[in-house]
Amino acid sequence: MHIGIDVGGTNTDAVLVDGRRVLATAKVETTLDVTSGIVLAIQKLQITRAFRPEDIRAVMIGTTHFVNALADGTGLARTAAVRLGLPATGALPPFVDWPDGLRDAIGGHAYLCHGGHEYDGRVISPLNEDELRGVARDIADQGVRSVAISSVFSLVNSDFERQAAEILTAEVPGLMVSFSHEIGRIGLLERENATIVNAALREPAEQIADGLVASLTSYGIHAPVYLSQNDGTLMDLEYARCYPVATFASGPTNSMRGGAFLSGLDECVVVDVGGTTTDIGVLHNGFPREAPSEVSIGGVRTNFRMPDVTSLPLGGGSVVRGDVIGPDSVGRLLSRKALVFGGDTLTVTDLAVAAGRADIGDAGRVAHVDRSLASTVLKRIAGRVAGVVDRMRTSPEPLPVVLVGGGSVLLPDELDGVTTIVRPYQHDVANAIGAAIAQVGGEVDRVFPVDARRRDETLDAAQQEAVDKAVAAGARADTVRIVEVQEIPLAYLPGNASRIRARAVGDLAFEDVARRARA
Amino acid sequence: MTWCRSPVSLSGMRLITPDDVDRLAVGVIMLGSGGGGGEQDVHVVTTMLRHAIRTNGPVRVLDVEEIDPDALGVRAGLIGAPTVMIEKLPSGNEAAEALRAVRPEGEPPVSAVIGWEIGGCNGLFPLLLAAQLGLPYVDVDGMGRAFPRIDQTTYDAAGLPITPLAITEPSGNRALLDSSAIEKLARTVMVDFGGWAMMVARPLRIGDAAKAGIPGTLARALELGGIWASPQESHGTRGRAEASGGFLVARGKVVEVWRESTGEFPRGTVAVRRLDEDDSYVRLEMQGEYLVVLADGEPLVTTPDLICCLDAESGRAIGTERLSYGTVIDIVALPAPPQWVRPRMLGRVDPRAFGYDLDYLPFGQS
Repeated sequence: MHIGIDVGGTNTDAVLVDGRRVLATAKVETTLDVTSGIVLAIQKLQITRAFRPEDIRAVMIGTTHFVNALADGTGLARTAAVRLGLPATGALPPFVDWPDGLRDAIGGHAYLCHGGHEYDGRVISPLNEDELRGVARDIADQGVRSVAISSVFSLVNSDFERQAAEILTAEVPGLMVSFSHEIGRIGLLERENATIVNAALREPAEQIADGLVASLTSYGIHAPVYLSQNDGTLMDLEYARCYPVATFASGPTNSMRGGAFLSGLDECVVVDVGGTTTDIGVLHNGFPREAPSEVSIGGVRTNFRMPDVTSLPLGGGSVVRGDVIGPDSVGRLLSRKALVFGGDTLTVTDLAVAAGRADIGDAGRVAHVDRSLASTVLKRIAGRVAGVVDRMRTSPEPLPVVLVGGGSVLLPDELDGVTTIVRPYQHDVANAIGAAIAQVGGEVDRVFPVDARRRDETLDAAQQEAVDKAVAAGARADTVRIVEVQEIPLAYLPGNASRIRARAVGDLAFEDVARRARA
Repeated sequence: MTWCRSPVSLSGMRLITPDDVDRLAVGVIMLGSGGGGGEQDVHVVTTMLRHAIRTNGPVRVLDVEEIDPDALGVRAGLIGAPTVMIEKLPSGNEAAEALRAVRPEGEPPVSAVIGWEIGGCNGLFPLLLAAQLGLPYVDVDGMGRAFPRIDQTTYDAAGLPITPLAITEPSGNRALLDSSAIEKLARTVMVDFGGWAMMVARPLRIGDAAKAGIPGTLARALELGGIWASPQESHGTRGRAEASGGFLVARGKVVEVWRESTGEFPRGTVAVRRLDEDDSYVRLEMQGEYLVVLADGEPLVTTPDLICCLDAESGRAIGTERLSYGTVIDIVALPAPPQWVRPRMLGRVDPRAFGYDLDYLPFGQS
């Protein structure tokens, strides 16, 4: 048995799963500290279906808690960026495109040093140990506790990043190191930015990870803990302590994957109506498509890709003023603030009850609400959702729509232009199910020199590397398969280099929970 | 129809300030016709340009008539893969170093920077050089869009010299090249230099550049930037395309992308299933740029006219390297600069110049 948990802005959902069978579900309010809500959800599972804590073999958690510290700006570590690449890259030093506030909040210490590789593996300039020892002394003087190391083409050769880390940590004991080659893709500025954000989050991540372990342990669960990453695959908690940034966009992917799993549809549109937002995404082969462009975190450009999900500021907790919906939501306070729960705020949920579409809370408390207003507003919501569904469709053929999430009662059984609407059983915990069924992945994305006569060998090598990474991350070797491989010959380079991207996923190996040394 | 529909003529807009950079970036990406570097590549150059303008002041932009025709203008541009440049970032001194190498002894100093290739990253590098040197930018370039070869310019068609050509890279390697087969030599050196390099060609008399080149392309980039940088919801793609003097060719989903890397440059074919018509497909042929759009084997748009693919949802341009299966795109055609659409000129840039057995199709005659 294992447990899947999704911590949303409004609710914390949990499911108890055996293989692919869902044994119990639970939904509680998200708590400010996150962890006590998780414990409450597990307790609720226990009430629905008793289980022995020692029988739980894994806990999968989807939460954006690790990166919330970035929005608060509190608890962030004093961070330095050390880049290896001189004399190249000097025109754009680290932090060059950051918002001033966030840069100042973490100190903004930037160091440009020698190092780096060419795309074909040649050295740009050798590491300069004296230079790095000077950086180490300065870092220590500035009180920096966490450092982001990035080297040009470290995805081709990561030796310089590791060697620089050895020099720095020898001089500054206890210094936390984040490597760019562990985080991102080609594109030095964006990869470095993500690495710096990660470095700044290391201290809060430690606290959150400790809190999660402590709360599960107090409940008697000693199973390994995994966290959902942005692409819907899992990483173990020890890795999340080092690379918290990889969890920041896990929410939408989990509900999309959970919706596909529950409905048994691999090709569909999933509409997830939560308390604050409605997320709409298209699934192909059971996975959400990746958005074509990069995302920024807290105003910082990164080269993370998000699932191609459109988010509308509409949910069960959206506040209604006159006939205006939101965009603000009562969020996790829905069960106190909404009228039907005895609160004083008119929310979309109240309108759904007034219109007779939902049976939640005390319908008597919304008896005074104008029914025609209620149905007009709900119709408008349905229209906005239908519009997005129509735009996201990738072919003229009708695509089934799967409605999931606690707020999906707001939507009618018919949407314009949609022939099939599915509301799967247990849809209200689709995101927790998405976390519970998540797999383990490995990815390769870099420039490979390609000799035309040995092209297949190069492609095979890239795919094998992705498979090896998935296994190293905890996938069962016999279940790992390549889900994506893409070779893009570089424009304007005469036929000798390609950007190759390969992604492999496999089932989590429960038996093999031995910690591995990844960092 | 004039090529630049509202000849902003830069009157009242004679300075490029940090506030203009984002709009300009959108414009040069549109003029890239899918090539010359995409959004992430251009971000590197816009960040450098903004920094240079903040440090050294705005770039003065002059129309070709506004400067002594005997003054010398210098052009700069990136050769190689923008995808490599976004990893091995510039030192920032590449173009200035190259310029020192190409200035012939005894000739007067250069008075201005001129354009080489307005499409993509190379639309911005000359402005960066102008900002760094404190020189004005004269609004003329040799392509009016992006092309893969450094000699696919109206300057070369008019016989203006391109050599000696200096080529530099961020680690400090530099070479001064002179050859009648400069394209091949420069590309060989560029690969050895690590996948991208900066080039500066022998300075030209501004009078010659004005006569042989394509004036007004920076104004055109600003015009397009103004049209395409506004939020997608406010105007549809069709409206924007028409406001740009072009048209919406098709909306469809990418159902197949086929790429190969044999031959001089990578090339590819894209199948797009139309969403605006039942059971109908269009085919895109691409190399560095989008070059031809066909339906049922018949051309709809051909190079040198411009072909832009935009994400139908966000309205952002998608370059040839980024186009992937499943994306819903709007294909937009924009007219080539009239300088290319002449019998004597077309041979350098028409479909046959790229190896397709097709004649140029006059714009909008599909």
